Amino acid sequence: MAEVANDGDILGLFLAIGIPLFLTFGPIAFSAIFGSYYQKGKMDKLLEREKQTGRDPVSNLSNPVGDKKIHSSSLMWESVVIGPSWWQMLLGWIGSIFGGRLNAFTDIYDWARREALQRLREKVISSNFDDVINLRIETSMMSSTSRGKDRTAAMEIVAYGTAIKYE
Amino acid sequence: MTQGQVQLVVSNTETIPGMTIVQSLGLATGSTVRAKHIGKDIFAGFKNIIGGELKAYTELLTEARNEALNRMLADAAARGANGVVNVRFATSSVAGGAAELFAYGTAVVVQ
Repeated sequence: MAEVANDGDILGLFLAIGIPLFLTFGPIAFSAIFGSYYQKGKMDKLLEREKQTGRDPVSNLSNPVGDKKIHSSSLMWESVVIGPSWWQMLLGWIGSIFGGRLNAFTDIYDWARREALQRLREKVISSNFDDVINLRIETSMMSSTSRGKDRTAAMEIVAYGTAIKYE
Repeated sequence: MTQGQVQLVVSNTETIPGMTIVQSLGLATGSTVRAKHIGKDIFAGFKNIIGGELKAYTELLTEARNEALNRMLADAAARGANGVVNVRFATSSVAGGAAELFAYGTAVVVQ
């Protein structure tokens, strides 16, 4: 016997489909929307700071340019630990099926390298050094992403160099 | 950088700018292994949803790297050096979210 569906049935149907759908795709959608918004904001702030720095003191030459007398030198380093968002990891996973370019990670890794460098610049400038030579950037994975129970994906980027102060 | 009473000059170049190396005293090393804090780990897991910097880990590794560097400096000072050149950092993840931070360089006497 067919009955006309009342409001309760429609609501029930809506909930029956909606809740599993939300639980499945909700976090990923949240990650996609808020993640890109958040990361874009961070990138804008970084660009602003890079502009304010003015002359870039950093170089990866092993000796300082010119023959200015050196007053003092010191090892300086700064690091940043980042993790891609769930959405980016999903895109990366899909991308790795087909291979080729992975645009999902490009932005956040680019941000992290530049952030580490910018922090080093700011530290060097605030410690009254003039230049940084022999800059090295090193990357290391902090936790397993594909294996094990640890689902946190984290990558550490450290930028280090010798800061020098001229007389 | 200072270590105890001795003032050590540290550099990641092969020479110390503005100084001359008179004696090499061998390799100075320092390392430390740090595990992630479970509370921080949970927070970092949430932060992973939107991505970006995991500040708790940045602080943890900064602290750990400082310790590795200080141990390297102590090693160098124990050899009677007053400088460390060509310093390199290495990181490796040990089992289950622990990370080893390693710093090494050549202990030297500079003038």
